[in-house]
Amino acid sequence: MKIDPTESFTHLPRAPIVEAVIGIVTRAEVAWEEQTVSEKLRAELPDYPNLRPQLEFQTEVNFNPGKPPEARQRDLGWKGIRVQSADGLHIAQFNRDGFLFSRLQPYENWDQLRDEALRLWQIYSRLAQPTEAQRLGLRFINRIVLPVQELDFEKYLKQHPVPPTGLDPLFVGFLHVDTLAIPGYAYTVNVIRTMQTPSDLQTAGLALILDIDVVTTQPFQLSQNVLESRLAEMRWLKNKVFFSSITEHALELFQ
Amino acid sequence: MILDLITIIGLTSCGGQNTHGTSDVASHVTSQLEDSRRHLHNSVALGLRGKGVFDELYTVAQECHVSDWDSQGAVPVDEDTYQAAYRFLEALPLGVAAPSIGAEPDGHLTFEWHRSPRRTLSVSVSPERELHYSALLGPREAYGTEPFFGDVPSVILDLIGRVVAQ
Repeated sequence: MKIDPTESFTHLPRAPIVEAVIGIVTRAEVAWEEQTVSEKLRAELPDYPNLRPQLEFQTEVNFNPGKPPEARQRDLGWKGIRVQSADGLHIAQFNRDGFLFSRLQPYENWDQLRDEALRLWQIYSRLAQPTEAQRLGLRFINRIVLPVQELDFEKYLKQHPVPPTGLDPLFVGFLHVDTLAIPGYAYTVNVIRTMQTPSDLQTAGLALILDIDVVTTQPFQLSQNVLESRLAEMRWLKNKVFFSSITEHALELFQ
Repeated sequence: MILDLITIIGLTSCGGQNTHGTSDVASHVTSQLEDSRRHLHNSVALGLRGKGVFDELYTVAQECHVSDWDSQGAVPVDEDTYQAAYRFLEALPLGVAAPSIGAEPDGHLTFEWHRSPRRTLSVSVSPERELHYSALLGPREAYGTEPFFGDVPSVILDLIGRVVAQ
C-alpha cells in the first residue's frame, strides 16, 4: 500500500462533518506565562476575540480493596489559552503541552482547514518555540442524522451493527472501535462508529457518528514542510476510511 | 515478522487517546469510549484493573510515600508520580501482560515485565511525566527516556511485546 496525497476525492457540499481537529502534542521550550501569552494572542489574533484561560484539572478515582471508589479532583493550574473566532466556527488551544485547532460545522474544505490551522500554529510556534512533536492527530467527526423513526443503519454505513439472529431488538446504543496500523507508515487510524439517540424519537431522528482519527506518535522535528506533508498523508488516510465506510445512498445525501 | 506484526497490532489497539475535540459530539464519543474502556479494564481476563494491578500500584505508592521508606534515605513517592503512573497503566492496551510494580530510592515508580534474566523490561515513571526505560532482549540492550503525554510511546509498547512474546 502506498499513500498518495495527490489523489483527489469527491467534494461533498453537505458533508456531515461536525468537527475537524488538528492536534499537535509538543512542549513549550520557553517560559509559558499567562499574561505574556494572552497579550500576544490578543495582538496577533484580532479575529479571535474570545479568549479564555485553560485550567487543568485532574479527576482521580481510587479503587481500594473493600472500599467504594473514591473520586477527587486536583487543580493543576493554568496551562494555556483557548481562543474562539468571532463567528464561533474556529477554536484553538495554545497550551504548554501542545496546540489544538478545531473547525466546527459547517465544514468548508481541506485547504481552508489546513491553512487556518497552520496560520495559528505558526503563532503558537513563535510563542512556544517547540522543536519536536510527540504526537500529531487529524480527526474528523461525522454525524449523520437519520430521518425520524428510521433505524436502517445499513442504508448509511457499510459496517453497521447487526442484531443477534433470531431476535428483533431495537438498538438503543452501540459502540464499535477499530484501530488500524498502516503497514510501512507510522500512522494509526482509530475509527469509531456509535450513535446518539434523541430524547424524543417521535420528533427527531437518531444520529450515526463516524469518527475517524488518524494519529502518529512517532516523534518528529517540527518544520512547516514536514507538518504539511504529514497532514496531507493523514488526510488521504482519513478520506480512504470515510469513503469506504459510507454507502452510495449516504454519498448521494451529502452531494 | 508475522509475530512482530501481530504483537504491534495487538499492542496498539484500544490503548491510546483520541485527538481532543471540542464539540458536543466529541464529548459524547469520549464518554462512550471511557465507559467502554472502564468496563473492559474491570475484566480479569483483559484488564489490568481486574487483575488487581491498580490496587498494587496504590499499595506500593502508599507504602513509599514517606521519606526514608527503605531506611536508607529514599525519596518519597509523591502524588504527581502516582498520578503519572496511574495514567500510564490506564493507557496500556487491553490484554497486555500485567507488570510487577515497585518504587525506586529516587521516588520513581517502576513497572517491570520479566520473562527471564535476559528478557526483561523496566519502565520508571517520574513526577515530571518522563518514562525511563531499560530492557534486556537476549544479547541486545535498549534504554532511553520518553515523555508521557497520555499515550504509551510506541518504543515501549514494542519492547513490552518483545519481552512477553512466547
